Amino acid sequence: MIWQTWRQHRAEASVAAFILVVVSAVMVAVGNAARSRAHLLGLPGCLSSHGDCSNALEQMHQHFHTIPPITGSLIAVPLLAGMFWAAPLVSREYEAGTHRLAWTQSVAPLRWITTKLILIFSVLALAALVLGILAAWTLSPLSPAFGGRYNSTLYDIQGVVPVACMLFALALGVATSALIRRTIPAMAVTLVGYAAARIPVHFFRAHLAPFARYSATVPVRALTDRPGGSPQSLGAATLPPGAWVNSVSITDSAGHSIATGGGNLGLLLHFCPDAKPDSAGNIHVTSACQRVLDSSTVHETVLYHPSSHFWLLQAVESTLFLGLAAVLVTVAVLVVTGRHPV
Amino acid sequence: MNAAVQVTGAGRRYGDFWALRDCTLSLPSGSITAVVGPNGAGKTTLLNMLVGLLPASEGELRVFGEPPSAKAEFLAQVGFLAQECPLYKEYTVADMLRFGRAMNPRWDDDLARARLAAAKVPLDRRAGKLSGGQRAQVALALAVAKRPQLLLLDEPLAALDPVARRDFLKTLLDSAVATGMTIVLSSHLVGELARFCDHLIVIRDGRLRLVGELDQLVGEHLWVGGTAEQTGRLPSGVEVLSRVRHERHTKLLVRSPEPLLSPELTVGPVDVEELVLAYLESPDLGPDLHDVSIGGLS
Repeated sequence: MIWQTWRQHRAEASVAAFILVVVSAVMVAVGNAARSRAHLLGLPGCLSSHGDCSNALEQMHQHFHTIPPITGSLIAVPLLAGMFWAAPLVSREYEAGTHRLAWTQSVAPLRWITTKLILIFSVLALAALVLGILAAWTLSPLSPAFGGRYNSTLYDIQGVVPVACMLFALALGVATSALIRRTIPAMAVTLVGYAAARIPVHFFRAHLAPFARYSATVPVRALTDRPGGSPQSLGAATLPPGAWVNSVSITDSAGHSIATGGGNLGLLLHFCPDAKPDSAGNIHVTSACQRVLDSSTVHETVLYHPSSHFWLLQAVESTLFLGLAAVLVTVAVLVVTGRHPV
Repeated sequence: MNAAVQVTGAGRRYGDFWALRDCTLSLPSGSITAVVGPNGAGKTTLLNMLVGLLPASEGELRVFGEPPSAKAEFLAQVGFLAQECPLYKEYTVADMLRFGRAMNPRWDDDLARARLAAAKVPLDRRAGKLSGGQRAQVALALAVAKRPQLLLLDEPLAALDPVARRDFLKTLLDSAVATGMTIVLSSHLVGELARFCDHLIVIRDGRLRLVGELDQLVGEHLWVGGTAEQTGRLPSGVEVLSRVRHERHTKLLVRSPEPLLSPELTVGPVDVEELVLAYLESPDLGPDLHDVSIGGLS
């Protein structure tokens, strides 16, 4: 069965190995270039001393702005494996009639499918792991300049999530292949199913682990005096670097929430309800109003994920997709061994 | 003799449609059986059930006393040559042999190579580029080298030209003689199989029409000729399968368990093809008699 699996899939394996080698080489090269550039700009020292590194970060961004869109295309790798390797796995046997050949040798269909799945899944999971770890290494000097590693074009291709995605895409491909028994429709369903499962994750990913909470009582002045600032910027500025802010809420001392939109406008209107913007959009702050602002404090609460939550979030998301993969693999095995009409 | 195949009341249903129903038969070990019937009669269903690819909707099947299953121990003793002789197109013939070796613990590589050499099939050619006859020979070599005790072949001759058919049957017969395995093969033609088989199953519209030992079946069936009056006075127990009227003369194909001795009737033997045709044509056996009228007499 091992020989048969190799002989039947050596073309796919060669393509996968070629892609892995090329992508790895490119990532090593990019990672080295990014490291030396960051070193040249003094970024590592600057970031660890919590100083203002915006200039260096801007230069990193300028220099490497083409990289994240390119590496971001790696999110398609599991999908391609699912469509072009897993989706034909069972259906092409049905299409060629060779299931009647394969499943009437002295090898039980259960062993046929489990051997194939174990070999193909473990090889591709290993490849995804290599790419995931390599991507984490390559992108670590870049991520501060591109919105941190929680940025989803960076997040999805790093760490263990790519492994879980790979196994999920393969399981989806095999299950649809066994159920539909036709390769092209199975590929189409794999494409749609994978997108349908992965896209929503971007909207609820932050809620996969409990947030860290930053809360502080600050004078209103501290917010309004920041030039061009908005209430969010205070929270973000005081958080550790690389934090992923989910929500900022501000309440007054009585516990009433204050709208945080529109720069400081919400804050002004809360404390000075009579203030009205004039025709030019400026607000004239009366001295009475100024006194209220000067004497008031607000309570600020920020929900966020510090960069230390990275692996926790990755683990939860991976577990979720590994669970889905396990269900789909079970379906595929049951269909193949269930001796449904052939 | 031990029954290699024992089927009792087996049937297979797809929704409301019965592909095969009330199938009861017993085939002795070492026998060679032809399953004959038109396309869609239920031959493939029967063979797929015997090899365990298709579960029965009702009834019971036993192959060497065991119900067909997807277990390796069962599969090891049954060889199967599926319809259209499926092979992996991108594999060379040598790869197909390697496949056979990898997938079968009792694989006889020398036997497979000898068969293919005799059939002049090049080992380095891709299966997708083989002729129909070569393809069938490779599929047969795979099935035989597995050393099964029962070999099932589903329409192996369908796509072959007469020479390839003869070669294929020769290879099959040689293997049968050498190994003593039980063989069941289906076909929609009976001609070439007649010399080759010792058992016959005629199947139509999902029902078995005729099952038995070939010589016995041929012996039991007779052409009987005489006037309408004479042929109307047949002894009880004689079953009329078809009737041909020709002016005053009537010719009947009958099944008679006893030898039919009558001074007033002309009695002649029936050949296998006539026999099969009679069972394939008669809409049903027994009361609904198939009536053929010739010569303008209603």
